[in-house]
Amino acid sequence: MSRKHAIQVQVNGEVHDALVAPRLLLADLLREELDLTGTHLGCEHGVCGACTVLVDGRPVRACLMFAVQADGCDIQTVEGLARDTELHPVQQAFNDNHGMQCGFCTPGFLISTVALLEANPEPTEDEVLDMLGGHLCRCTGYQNIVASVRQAAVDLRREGSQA
Amino acid sequence: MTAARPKYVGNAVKRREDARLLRGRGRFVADIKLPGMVYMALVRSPMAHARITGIDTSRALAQRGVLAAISYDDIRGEVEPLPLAERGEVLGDTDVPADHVTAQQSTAIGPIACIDLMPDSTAVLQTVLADGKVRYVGEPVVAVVATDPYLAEDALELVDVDYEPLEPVVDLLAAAGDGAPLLYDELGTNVFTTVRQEVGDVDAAFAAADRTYAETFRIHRYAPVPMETRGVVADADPVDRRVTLYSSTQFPHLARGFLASSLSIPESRIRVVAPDVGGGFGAKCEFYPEEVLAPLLSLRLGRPVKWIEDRREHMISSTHAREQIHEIEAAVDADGMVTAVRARSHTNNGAAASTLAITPTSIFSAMLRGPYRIPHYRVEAKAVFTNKTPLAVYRGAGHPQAAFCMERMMDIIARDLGVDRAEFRRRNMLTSAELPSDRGTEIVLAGKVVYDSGDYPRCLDMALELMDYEGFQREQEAARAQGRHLGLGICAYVEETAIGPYETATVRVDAAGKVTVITGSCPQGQGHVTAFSQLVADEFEIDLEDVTVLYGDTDVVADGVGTFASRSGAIGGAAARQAASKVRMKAMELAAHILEIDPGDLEWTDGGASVKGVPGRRLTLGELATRATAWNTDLPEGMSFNLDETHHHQAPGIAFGNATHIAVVEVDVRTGKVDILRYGVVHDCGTVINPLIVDGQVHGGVVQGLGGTMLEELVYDDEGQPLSTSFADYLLPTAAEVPHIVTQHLEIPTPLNPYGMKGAGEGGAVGSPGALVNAIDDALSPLGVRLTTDGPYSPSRVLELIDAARNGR
Amino acid sequence: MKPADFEYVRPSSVLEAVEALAASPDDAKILAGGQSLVPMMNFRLATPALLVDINRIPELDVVEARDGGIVIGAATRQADVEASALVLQHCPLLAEGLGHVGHPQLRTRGTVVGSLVHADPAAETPAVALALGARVTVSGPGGARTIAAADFFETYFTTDVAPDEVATEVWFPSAPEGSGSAFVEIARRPGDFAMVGVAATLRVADGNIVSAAVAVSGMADRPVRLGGVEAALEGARSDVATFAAVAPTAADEEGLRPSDDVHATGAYRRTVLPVLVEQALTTAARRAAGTGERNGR
Repeated sequence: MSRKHAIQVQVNGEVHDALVAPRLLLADLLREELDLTGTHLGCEHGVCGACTVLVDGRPVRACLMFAVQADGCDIQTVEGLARDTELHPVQQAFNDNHGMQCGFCTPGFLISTVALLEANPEPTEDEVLDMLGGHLCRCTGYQNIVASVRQAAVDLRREGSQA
Repeated sequence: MTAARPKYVGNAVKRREDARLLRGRGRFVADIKLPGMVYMALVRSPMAHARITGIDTSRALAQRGVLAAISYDDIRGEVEPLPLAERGEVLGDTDVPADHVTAQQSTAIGPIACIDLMPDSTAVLQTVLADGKVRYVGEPVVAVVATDPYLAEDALELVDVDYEPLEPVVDLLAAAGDGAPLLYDELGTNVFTTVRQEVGDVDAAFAAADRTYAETFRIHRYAPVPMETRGVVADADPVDRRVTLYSSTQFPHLARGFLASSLSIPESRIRVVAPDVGGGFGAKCEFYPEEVLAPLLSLRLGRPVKWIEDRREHMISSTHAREQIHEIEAAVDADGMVTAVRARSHTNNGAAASTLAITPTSIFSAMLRGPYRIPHYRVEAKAVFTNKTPLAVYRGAGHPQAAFCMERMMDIIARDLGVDRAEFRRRNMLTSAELPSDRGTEIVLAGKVVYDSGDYPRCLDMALELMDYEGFQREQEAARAQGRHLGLGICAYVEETAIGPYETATVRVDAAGKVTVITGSCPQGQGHVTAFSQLVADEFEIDLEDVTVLYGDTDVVADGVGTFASRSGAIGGAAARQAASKVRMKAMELAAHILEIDPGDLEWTDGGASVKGVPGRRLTLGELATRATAWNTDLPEGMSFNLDETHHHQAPGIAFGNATHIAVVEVDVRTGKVDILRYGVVHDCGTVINPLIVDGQVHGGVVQGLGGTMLEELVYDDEGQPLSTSFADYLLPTAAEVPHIVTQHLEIPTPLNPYGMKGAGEGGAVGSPGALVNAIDDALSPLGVRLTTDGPYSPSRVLELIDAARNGR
Repeated sequence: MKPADFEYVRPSSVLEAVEALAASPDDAKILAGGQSLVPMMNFRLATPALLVDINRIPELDVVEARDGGIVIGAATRQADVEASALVLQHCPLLAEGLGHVGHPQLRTRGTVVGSLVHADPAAETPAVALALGARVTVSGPGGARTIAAADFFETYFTTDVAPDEVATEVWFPSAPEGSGSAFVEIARRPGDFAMVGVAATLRVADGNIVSAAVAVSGMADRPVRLGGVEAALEGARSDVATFAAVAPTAADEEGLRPSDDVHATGAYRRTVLPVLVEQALTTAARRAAGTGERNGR
C-alpha cells in the first residue's frame, strides 16, 4: 500500500484538503471524496470526454490525471457553472436547442464549450468542430449540440458587449 | 375571462428535464452512495471456449479489504432444490416440455431469462456465473467484493482460474453447419431457433418470374454502446430479505420479475429503481448476471453492493447487435413488379440466449419486404450460438438489416432493369388505399404484422423533393465529368412501433390543482417528462409547469412495462392522457354534483369546470381535488375518493411507423474516404407530440446508423478473442463525421392509438445503413463496384472494393 | 478500469528526477502529460511501481529560441507549443502537426517531448521531429547527452532513452529562408492516430528545390525518412509536375513495412502514401513560394 499524499485543491471556488492514494484519479476525487458527481466517467481512457473539467482554466480529462497532481490547482466542474438560480448561458443554449438527451455526456460538452468561448469568443466553424471532436455523444447526433454552441457564442458576446 | 391557452401537443416545447442534468445534478447509478456500500468486480473469462478445471479464490480472500469471492459452486446450493415432480417435467420428459429449456433448471440461483423464445426453440439459459464451462470472452466466472473499487480490481488479479481450452467457433455459417464445435453439447446443434414465415405461393411465383435475382448480404457486428455503461447498486436487508436494486435499466418492472425468479424471492419484496439512465438503445432492455449477483452478495454481506461496468467490460459483456447473413432471392415479373422474395437468414447470437435473443431474427424475417407489396414471401431464419458475446436488440432490432437488404435489392433490380430506382420503388409500394394490409407474418412477442397506416409513396416523393432528387442527377453527371464520384442512396422502410402488451399511467391531482403523472415508461433521454406533460397539460388545459412526472421506481410505479421498441410516446403517452381524461371526467361529474346542475351544462376550460354561459360559476381542478378527498362525506353515489385514476392502455395491435431516408455522399477514389454531404429524412410517426424531440431521436438514430456503416465494428479473431475492446479500436462518430440532417414530418395518424400516435425512437437507425450504402454503391457503380455488406466502409475497405472490381473479382 | 498501486514523487529539479529514477530504474516511469501513459495504466497494461512527476520542474516548462532553433522543455504543453508565436514563425511544421494530435482537451496536458519518448509509430510528432532533424536532450546518472532524431526512434514504443534517463528538452532547427512545410495525414476521424502521416519540408531557391525532407508515420515500427523521394527532389523544379512524378515512388521506399490492423491494411497504407506525399509536397512548395499561409490554419 503506497504512501498517501496530502493535497489541497480549490473546486468551484471552495478549498478542500484531502489525503489521497497516488492512484486515485482526479475524477474519483471529485466524484467520491467531494460528492461532485456531475463529472461522469464514460471510458476511463480519455476518449469520450464526459469527465472533462477545467484545471487552472484549461479543459482536462479528469480520468487521465491523478488527484495528487491537482495539488494547488483551481478546478471548475459543471456544478460550478450555473449562476445561483440562473443557468450559465452555455447551459441555457443547450436547453434552448435540445442539445442534450440523456445528459450523461453533457457536463463534458458544457465545460469544453465554456473554455472555448472564454478563450475564443468568435470561433470559426472548424474551431468549434475541433473542440467538439473531443467529446462523444450517443443520443443527439450532434446537430443540436452544434446549434447550442453557436447560440452560446452569440449570447456570450451579446452579454459581454452589454457589460 | 381567462386568455386562450396555447396547446402544447404538436409544438416544439423546450424540455423540462434539462435544468437538473445541465447543472450536473443527475443521479446516475454510479452517483448513488449508500452507507456501508462495498464494491463488486468480476473475473471474466479470457477464453472464448474452455472448461473450467479449477478456481482458487484464497489469495484474493486473504487480501485486505476483500470481503467475498464467489464462483458458481458457491451459490449452486443456495436455496432448496425444486421438488422431484417438477424437476421431472423440467428435466425434459419427452411429452411435457414445461419451459422450452433443457435440464439445467435444478440449480438454486435461477438462470437469466429469455422472454422471446419460440415454441420450438431449444436453448440453454445463461447462468449468473460460469458453470464449469466458459463460452465467450467476458463471461463472468467469479464475483469479488471489496471495500473500494480500486481494491476490488486488485483482487481480480489474485483469483486463479484454470482453463482447459476447447475449440471455439465464431464464424456464423460454420457454427450453423454440421461438425461445428458445440457450445451446448446437450442441444446437439448450435442452431437454437428457426423462424419460418410464409405468405402466398413463392415457388410458383419464382417459376413464373421474368427475371430472378440472388444476393448474399452480410451484416457485421456492432453494438448500442451508450455513453453510460451498465451498473447496479443492490441494497438488501438480510433479515427481512427485502431487496432494492438500483440498475441502469430500460425496464425496471420486468427486471423485478426476472430478479424475483432468479433469487426465488417474491416480487413484493423487491424494489427496482431505474435512476437517471445514460442511454440504453437496447443494451439495457436486457437482464444481466450482475443484476442478480449484486443483490445476492448484498444479502450475504448485509451491506449495499455497487458494481459499475467499465468500458472494457462493456465492450465484451454488454450485449452486441446486428450480425447476420442473409441469402435473398427476388422474382420480378414482366411488368417490373417484384412478385416474390425468398430468404435464408442466419443471426450470430453469440454464446447465450439473451433476454431478447430471437427478436432480431424474428423482426428481420417478418419485415423484410418493407413497404413493398411482394405478395409471395418465404423466409427461414436461424438463430445460432457462437463463442462471441451474446447478441440482443439495438435500436431497430432487425429492421435496419431488413431495410438494408430490401433496399439494396431494389437498387440492384432497378439498375438491371434500367428503371429509375425511385420509380421502381414507387411502383412496388403498397398505397394508402391498400392499408390496412395483413402481411401474413408475425413478430415474436408483438403479434401479427398488419400495416395500419401510412402513405409510403407520398413519403418517398416528399423525400425526393426534400433532397432535390432531380437536381442531384445533374449534379452527379457534372461531377463525373470532373472525375468525382457522387452518389445518392434511398432507403424506405416500415417498422413496428408502439408494441404492447400495455403501458400504465396513474394521474392524480392535489389540492393546489397540480397534477402528478406516474408512468410505467422509463426514459433514457427521450424526453418522456416533457412529452407526457404536454399531453396531460393539454388534457386539463393547465400549464406545463403544473405537471410532475414520476417514473422508474417500482415502489412508486405500481405497474409498468418499460421503454424499448419505440413504445413510450405512443403507448405510455396514450395511457397518461387517457388517465388524465378519466380524471377530468370524474372532476366534471363531481363539479356537476357540487353545483347541482346537469353535467351537460358544464364545460371544461383552463383547468376547471365552468357552467356554460356563466363563467363565474366555476370550480378549479384544485378545488375539485380538495372536494374529492376522504375528508369529504358528500361525493356522488358510487364515486371513489380522490381525483386519482389509473389507465392501462393495451395496444390493440402493432402500429407501423415508416420513413424514407436519402443520403448523398462523395467518395474519393484515391483515398477511399467517404464524405457524407447531405442527409434527409421524411418521417411518419403519426401524431407528433413534440417535433423537437422527434427530430432529436431521428438525428441520434441516423448518426448511430452512420457509425455502424462507416466506423463501428466488433472484430473477433479466429480464436474468439475480441479485438475492439476500447474506444481506440471501436470508433464512434463525432460531430466532425456527421452531415446536417434535414427532417420533415408526415403525420398520418394510426387508428390503433386514441391520439393517432406511432413510435419515433428507433427509425433514424433503421433507414441510415440502407441509405448510406446505397449512396456509396451509386457513387462507385461506374467502377463496377456492387456492395453487399453493411460496412463499415473504412477508406481501406473502399479501396479494396474498388480494386477488386477493377480486377474483375 | 482503475490503475494498479504505485508510489509517487514530484521532484522540483531534473537532478532530483534523475535520482528518483536511479532508485528504481526498471520499475519507474516519468509522468509528464500522462495522456498516453495514464490510459495504459488504467487498462493495467502499464504497472509502474513509481511515477516520477516532472510537471512542476520549472526549467522544463519552456519554449525559447536557442542555437538556431527552438527549444521545448519536457513539461511544456502541446497546446502552448501549438499557440506559440515563436513556434509558428520558426517551426510551423511542428505547429501544424500538433493540430492533428488527439483533441484540444488532450493537448492541454500532453507534451511534445512525452510524445517523442512514447514513440507510437502512428504518432505525428515523431514524424515531424525526424523530418526536421530535431535533437532530444536526456539526463541520466552519467550526465546529459543529446540524441539526433535519426538515432532516437528504435522500434514500437521504444527509443534510445535509457530506463534511468529522463528526456528534458527537444530542439527543432528554425526553418531556413525560402522553406515551406506541410503535414498531411489520413485518419479514420480527425484527431485519431494517422493511418498514414506525412511531414514534409522543402527549401526552394529560384524555383528549384535546394533540399527536401519527407518523413512518414504509420508505415513501419517507427517514423521513416523517404530518402529516395528526397534525393529525387533535390535539384528538381519545385512544381506539380515534379511532385506528380516523384510521389508514386514513395510506395517502394526502403524501410517501409506497413502492417494490417483494425483500421487499415498494409496494402492500403502503401497505396495511399503517394497521394499524401504529393499533397504534402504541393502544399509545402506553395508555402515556400510565399503564396500560401504559413502553417495551414
